[in-house]
Amino acid sequence: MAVTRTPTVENPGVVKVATSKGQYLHFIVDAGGPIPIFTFASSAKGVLYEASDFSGHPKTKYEWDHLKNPSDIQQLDELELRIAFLTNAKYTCTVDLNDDAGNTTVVLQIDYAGTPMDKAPESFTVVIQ
Amino acid sequence: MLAVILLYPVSAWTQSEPGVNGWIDKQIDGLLDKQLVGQNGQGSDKQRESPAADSRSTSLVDQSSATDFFSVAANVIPVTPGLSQFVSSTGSSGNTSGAAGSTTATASLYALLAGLNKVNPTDPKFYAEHVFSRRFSFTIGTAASTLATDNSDTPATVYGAKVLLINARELYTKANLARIKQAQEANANAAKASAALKLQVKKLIFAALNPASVDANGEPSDLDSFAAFIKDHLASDANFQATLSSLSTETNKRIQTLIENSLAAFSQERAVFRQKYDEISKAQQLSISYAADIRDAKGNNYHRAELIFDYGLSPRINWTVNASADYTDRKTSSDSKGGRFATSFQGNLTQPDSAWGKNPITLTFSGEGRWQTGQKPQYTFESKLTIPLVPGVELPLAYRYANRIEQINQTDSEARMGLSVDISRLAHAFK
Repeated sequence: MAVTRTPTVENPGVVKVATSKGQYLHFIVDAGGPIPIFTFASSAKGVLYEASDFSGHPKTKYEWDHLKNPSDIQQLDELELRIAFLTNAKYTCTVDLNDDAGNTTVVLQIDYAGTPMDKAPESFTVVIQ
Repeated sequence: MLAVILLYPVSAWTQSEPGVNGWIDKQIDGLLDKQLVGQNGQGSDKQRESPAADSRSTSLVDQSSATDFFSVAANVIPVTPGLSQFVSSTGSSGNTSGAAGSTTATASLYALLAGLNKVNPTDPKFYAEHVFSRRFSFTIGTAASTLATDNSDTPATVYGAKVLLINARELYTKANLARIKQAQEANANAAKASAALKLQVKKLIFAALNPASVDANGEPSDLDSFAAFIKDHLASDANFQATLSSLSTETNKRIQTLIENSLAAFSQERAVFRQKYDEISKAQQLSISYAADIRDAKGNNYHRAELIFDYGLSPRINWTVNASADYTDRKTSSDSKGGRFATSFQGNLTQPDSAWGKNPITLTFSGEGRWQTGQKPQYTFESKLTIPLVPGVELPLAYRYANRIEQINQTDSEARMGLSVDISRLAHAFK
């Protein structure tokens, strides 16, 4: 059956990030267990992270920053967080727009529940300012 | 939590994001569906009902694994007279009143450890660190007694324990971790292809509708305009539908070509997930169990030591075999000893609505042969329909037929109804 997708903050489709002003994206994946499967990929650079890349995998919370490191910065990059439910039934994905001053804006926050063959891709375009 | 992988279907779904991204996902699924030759199903291997040794159980055959967490089963009523109206081996006819019910609760050692540690049993770290504890489960409960059948009208205490000796469906075996790694790799390849495809489609639509705002290579020349276009025309379903209907046939064809040219990674992802799901869910399980109905000083005690084997014939059909040694300890007449062989096929008729939602409707056909000292062989057949009422609550309806008067008084058949509650699933539904 289809994934149940419940947005708290809906995917805006496009996110402007003023990297020159210290803005960057902070990703959080909360997983229900037992073994999360997901990938964070970029249209420009391909696969950036897999769940198994994180120390302590499998675990309940995965977090990483994107665009904080200058090598991440790509104009008009499509970012995709693709989660799979083969061995993990529930996820919550959150993307925050942070800056060096400590300000945070929630870009998207979505709960997912699915069955083993389900996938839930979530993607948006990043426009660097 | 292994139930999550074992109880759910293999039909693939990709949840839609809003707007153009979701539309692309649906196009991909649609094209992949066309490629699908057959649809598999799912396994059903978790016993949530009372042990078969309980003569009031709606389960004629035991399954190798119990719930991962905690479940309760009540065998409410034999809705027609029959099997529970036992006739003792001495041949005296039984008094049937009050022979109906039994209630048992089953918990895994894992669930008990999670409770003692005040940890959510689905916590990945805890789950990974306590693989061994999921091999053990315990059952306790009561079963009604009658003077005629049990030499006592005091309810029996039901005890049971089960140990999974071989559990090839456990996620944390070396082989299954390797399978999960392959699934992760397929997911990564699809994510990479999906990100690239979605950006290409967005740029193509933008260029088609805003030819003055792209450069010679078709790239957006004004990034703010492109960002605004995505936000206003592509991000929501309603806006995207209007945008889609305004595209020319040529642009639509180019989008379809882009999608079709990217299908390989998505096709591979679906195939790998299906293959790994099948490999894990159809794997073998072997367990040993002991179950007993213990009564007061005068009542009969029933003991069963059992070997249980499960094998997934397909993701929708699970085959189970039981071989057991049975012992009836009678206080006022001679004991019975013997063996029992039983087998069942459990098939899922429907697919569940979500991971923690209702289980599928299952249809089970079972057969049992019992050979006891001082008795002629007894053969019993059962068909059972298990209907999920709400997530975590199921209603098993069984029709049982047996050949021997030793098991059946007056009629050769009986219908039974029970109720099983998976506490974890039920609690999850109310979260």
